[in-house]
Amino acid sequence: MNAEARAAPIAKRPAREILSLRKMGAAFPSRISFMRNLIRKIHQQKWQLERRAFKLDANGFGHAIYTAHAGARPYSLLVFTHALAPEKRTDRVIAEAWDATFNLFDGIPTEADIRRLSRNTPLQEAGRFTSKELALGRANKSLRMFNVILDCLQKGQQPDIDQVAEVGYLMRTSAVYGSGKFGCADRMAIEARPELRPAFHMEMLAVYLFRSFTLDLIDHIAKSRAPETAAPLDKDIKRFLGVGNSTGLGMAPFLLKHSRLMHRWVDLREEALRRSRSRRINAAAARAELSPLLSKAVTHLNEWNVADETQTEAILDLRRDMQSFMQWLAATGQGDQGSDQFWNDVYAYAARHLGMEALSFIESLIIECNGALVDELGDRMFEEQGQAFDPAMSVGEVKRLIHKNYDWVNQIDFGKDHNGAMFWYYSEEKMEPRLGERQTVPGAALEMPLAIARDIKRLAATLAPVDDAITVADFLLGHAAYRHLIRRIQTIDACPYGEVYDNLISASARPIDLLRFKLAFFGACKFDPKSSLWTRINMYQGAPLFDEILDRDPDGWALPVKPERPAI
Amino acid sequence: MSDFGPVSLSELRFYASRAALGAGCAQGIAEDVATTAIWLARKKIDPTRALAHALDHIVNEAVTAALKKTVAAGNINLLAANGRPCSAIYAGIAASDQLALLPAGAGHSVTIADTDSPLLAAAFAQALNPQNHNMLMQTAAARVNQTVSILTRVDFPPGSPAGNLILKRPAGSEPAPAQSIPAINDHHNIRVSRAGWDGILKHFKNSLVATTEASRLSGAGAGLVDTD
Repeated sequence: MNAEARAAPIAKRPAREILSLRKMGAAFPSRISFMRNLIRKIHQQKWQLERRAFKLDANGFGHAIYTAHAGARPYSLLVFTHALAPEKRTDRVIAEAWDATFNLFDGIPTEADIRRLSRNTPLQEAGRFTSKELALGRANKSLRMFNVILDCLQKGQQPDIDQVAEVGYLMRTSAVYGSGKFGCADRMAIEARPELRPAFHMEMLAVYLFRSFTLDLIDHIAKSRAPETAAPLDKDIKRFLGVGNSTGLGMAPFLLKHSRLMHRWVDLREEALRRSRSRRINAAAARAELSPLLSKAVTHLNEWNVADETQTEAILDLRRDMQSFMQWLAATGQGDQGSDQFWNDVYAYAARHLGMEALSFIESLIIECNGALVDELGDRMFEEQGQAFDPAMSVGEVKRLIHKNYDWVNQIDFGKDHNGAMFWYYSEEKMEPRLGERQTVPGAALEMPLAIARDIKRLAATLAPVDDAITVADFLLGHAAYRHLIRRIQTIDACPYGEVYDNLISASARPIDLLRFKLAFFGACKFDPKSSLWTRINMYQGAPLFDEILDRDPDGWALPVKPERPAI
Repeated sequence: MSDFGPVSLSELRFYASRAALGAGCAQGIAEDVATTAIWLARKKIDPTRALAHALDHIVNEAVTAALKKTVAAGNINLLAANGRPCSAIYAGIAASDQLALLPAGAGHSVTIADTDSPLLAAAFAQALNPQNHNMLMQTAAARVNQTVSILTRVDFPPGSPAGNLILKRPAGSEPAPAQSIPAINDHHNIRVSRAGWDGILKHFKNSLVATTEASRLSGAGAGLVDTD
């Protein structure tokens, strides 16, 4: 950190202020999000990317291999494509067939590996994998996008850019599994490798390579079907196409289970904001940095259109707030106005005058303008698994920690049905995570342990009459049901950003808020909620293409906007 | 004996913890079952048969999870609160907790009286030991004063005889650095016995909620077909 920033430190924000569902559900990606960090890393470290194999028939069915050489270590995306009947086309976990299935392979696959994976990868969860496979995923075409673009290309035309912008991708993934799933390599297999050590970078690499495949695929099919007339897709349009993704409830338990990791992510993002706000910079200099980004930001927001009414209202509010913000910005900093910590002034204005979405958006803009101060944080987004546990702690100390960190649970009256109406569970059907109404859906006895607020309240009531001097070890001899909660309480005291400070079993809780929070850390944009339980997103929209990534500004793709109409 | 795998450590963690839940264990106990399964697997010890066996005992009520504690001359005794043997899972976890209460260097012990699998209980106590002491154990099989960390496949039969287990920290010992308990299998991959894996899956399935048409249609929020 530079000397200027040290001169005027500003504290990170309290966990409760930023980890309510409402605030989490307004999250935006930033320049230290995983995709952004990975693209920067590929560019800076000059990874060599190559398409090693592309053995597809005229309809695009076959397999392809894309390899990223991270220094001396290669990682290969092996994709298989398949014909898919319309009635089998679903984004749900319970799907059993897909347009494309893929692995990220540790190294370069041999012919024997390709044969083995050709039998297993299309089966997804029903296949078996080895420690050579780092990730397993699948994707389906966006039929409306794929067919429209394909039709144009076959005629030698480029698609209408407005139509392209309505979807923004050719294919969308519905799962990208890593970390030992179905026999794949455990996380520990790669955690000592600096290039993939930060969380989800391996999965993000798989998706980036898959994006290249989708772009090559459509050119290939167009050319195969109309060799005389077909035109390749315009490069600016290609760059504007990302990879879609459908995400459901499975992401929510992850956050609750990985408290230390979540704390790490949030702590680093807070550190990025804190450093940026602390930087000594006057209004004129800050406005000069912000202005080019701001016009792009406004266009980006104007191009973010969804069907969901709640999100549409939020986007409209956000656009209005951004207009207010720009008016304030234009008026501030003229003459003697504004302090010499102008990013902090910007933050204070947004926090005081704007809605939650606008505040979150402006936080990301502030961070975006301070790359030199924050970029190194993106490589530190990892943490050991597990939670702390001190059985020698006294019950009195546990009571104190509950009072200190969980007083908010007392505001929730679980005597009201509304506050405990829902429960989370794994369905026996492909272990799909689901949310059910406690009164109507059978299986509440097998509830996932996400009712943190309710259960902490129960624990506090149980502890109330217990002698403070008794140890946790002795208390748990007769109360094993509270073991995980005490472990959580001890962990959260050291990792306050690892908790969700809200009631996850309320009838009004929106799980989608948790999903957006996590997806923003991934670097996703264009959140497109389909209900309160699942969302679609866009990944890598605007990112440099496979064959230009070493030459283009690796940070120039923030806030992607649709390109100008190409000449037809 | 047929085997299955290779199984990743992550799979082992997931299935072992959910199997424990399926057997009726509390969430925190299930988490510790997973941690212990990983600890054993990293030493290339297949934990599945012993764990499945221990979970069977819990489900069949052949053991008890209800423990009581007595202290005599600084030594801690964990006893069943009823007439059944102590569950190795619950007793091993409790022993790990209780070991943390013993003063360092005093040579005191924690004894589990009559557990269904002393070796499995010892594995739990060592795997969960928050201070990573290299503990000594004594069982009816006369393995006197062996360190728990030298458990091997030979030492760890799935149906090891029931009996007592005495655990102690060596007198004067300080917490051992983490690397002093070697992790043999740091990378991945353990083959497990088919019987053991099936035994885990049997309990695992009981942790899942039966699907209904209503939950299928609305429980995940999304529809069943996406053609756009």
